[in-house]
Amino acid sequence: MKNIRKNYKLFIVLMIFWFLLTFSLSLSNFITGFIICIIVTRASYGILYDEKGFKFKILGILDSIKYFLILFIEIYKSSFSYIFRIIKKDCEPFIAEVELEVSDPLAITIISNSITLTPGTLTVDVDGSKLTVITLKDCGDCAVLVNKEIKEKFEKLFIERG
Amino acid sequence: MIYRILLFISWVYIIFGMIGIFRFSNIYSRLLTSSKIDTVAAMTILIALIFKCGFSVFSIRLILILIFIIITSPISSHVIARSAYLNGISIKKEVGK
Repeated sequence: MKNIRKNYKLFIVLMIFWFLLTFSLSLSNFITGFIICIIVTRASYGILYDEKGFKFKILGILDSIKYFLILFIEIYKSSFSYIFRIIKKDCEPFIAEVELEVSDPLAITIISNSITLTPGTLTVDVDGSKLTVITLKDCGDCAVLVNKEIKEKFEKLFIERG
Repeated sequence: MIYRILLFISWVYIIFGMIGIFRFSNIYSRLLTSSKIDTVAAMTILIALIFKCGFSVFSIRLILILIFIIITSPISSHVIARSAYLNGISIKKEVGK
């Protein structure tokens, strides 16, 4: 209970999500949600938070909205180009290595998730701040181009945030 | 009206995703196709349903599910691609050629 008292914020957020998803105010629902949220909060110790508080610097609301907007636009833009690739059967993947400037593990995770979500690129491995990416472009200077694209689209947002 | 257009777009994505999986013979190309087209199609269907429901309680749930899909769907494709890469499956190998 000590950990939960220290991290009541996570517990409250989990409870809000529970009620938003179940939309029932019955006693049994409340008890089930309460027990599950306590288990999740306990299990998150050491992963999400420790004695000092949260381990990660979470994105602000404005930054999150900006990030999701950029992500949505990128996903739809590249999915259309991917459909043309399927029609033309133009798909020769190759591996590129991207060295990121950010060192925050959460930022690296979000960037690699965004790369995987965008059609045509897939993060295979992460080693420190170096990402191994599978991509589809088949031009001469592909690795440089992929590097530039990832840095301009996603990394910029996290560098600005600091 | 908007939701019908979005649903139609999602069908197009799913159809091309299926065609892509059968057209490409490389494991990585197939992975790229299946994971991405699936995500885009699921997202489009959910956005269409949000438009259909309007501003209601149900929409909030759909938005939560949408965020959940965006966060979790890359993980499975990442794990499959990573295990293929670490097991030494060549990226240039085209089985069908």
